[in-house]
Amino acid sequence: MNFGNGALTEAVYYILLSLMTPMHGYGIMQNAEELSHGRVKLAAGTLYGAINTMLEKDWIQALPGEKNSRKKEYVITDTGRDVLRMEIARLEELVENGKRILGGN
Amino acid sequence: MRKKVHKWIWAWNFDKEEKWLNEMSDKGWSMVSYSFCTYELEKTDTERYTYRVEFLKNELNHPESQSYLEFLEETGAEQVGSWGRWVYLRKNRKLGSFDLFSDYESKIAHLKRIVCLFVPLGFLNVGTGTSNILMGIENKTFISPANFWAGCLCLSVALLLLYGSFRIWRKIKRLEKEKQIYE
Repeated sequence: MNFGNGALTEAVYYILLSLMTPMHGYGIMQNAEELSHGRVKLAAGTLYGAINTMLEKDWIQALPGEKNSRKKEYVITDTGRDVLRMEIARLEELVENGKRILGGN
Repeated sequence: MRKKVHKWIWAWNFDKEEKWLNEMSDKGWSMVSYSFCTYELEKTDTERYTYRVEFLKNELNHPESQSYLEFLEETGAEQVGSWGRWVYLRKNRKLGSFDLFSDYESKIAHLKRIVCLFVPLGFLNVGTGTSNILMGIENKTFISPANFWAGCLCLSVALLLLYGSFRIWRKIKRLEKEKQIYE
């Protein structure tokens, strides 16, 4: 459920970041793993579900594919960029509060 | 070289099935096809695979299932067998790790799909089983033994389905507890 200020899942966050450049599914998996230094391993089924939900929400869009290629490429939309900006602001708040209260070291 | 292994694995133990298939591949025997209770394994000396078993959202020939399987293929996985809505998938370990679900949400959704099939089927069998038994033993005499035994069969199937649902439901509860704390 979306309460308007909900946290994105890690999968969604890294998919959106990856799709700043057009990419197909396998590319997203590799990119997310690389960006997170091997920590985030998106599983194929989870990724497929997230991509479809984000297509419905118009956060990403499928690019018209080449005729001989079955591989679909996706790219972030303007709505997707807004969502990403809001999420980064939310994450900054979390980190700032954490550092301030816990001491940061 | 190929060999056939006959093995019965309960549907709610599909994670144990995955484990067994992966262990067999470790030993150099990789599954290449499935038919009812029969796993065909091929001697693979150099290649090792990671196997995953999934209960699809739709029937195998449904366009949605096909587009999902195509997507999996793009990520280096291949389908090696199926049984109803169950599919057997594998990925060569040289191509990296292979998991179908990487968060609690999608793991739970997968398990719920199985329960949503088992529970109604289970109760349907309770209903037909009970009515058959009652028909078979009207007025405390065996009028129709065939009905009676058919009824018993239905009740046994019902028991299995509901037991399986219970096992999966427990897995779901465990995951939901984790989900309250972690993503």
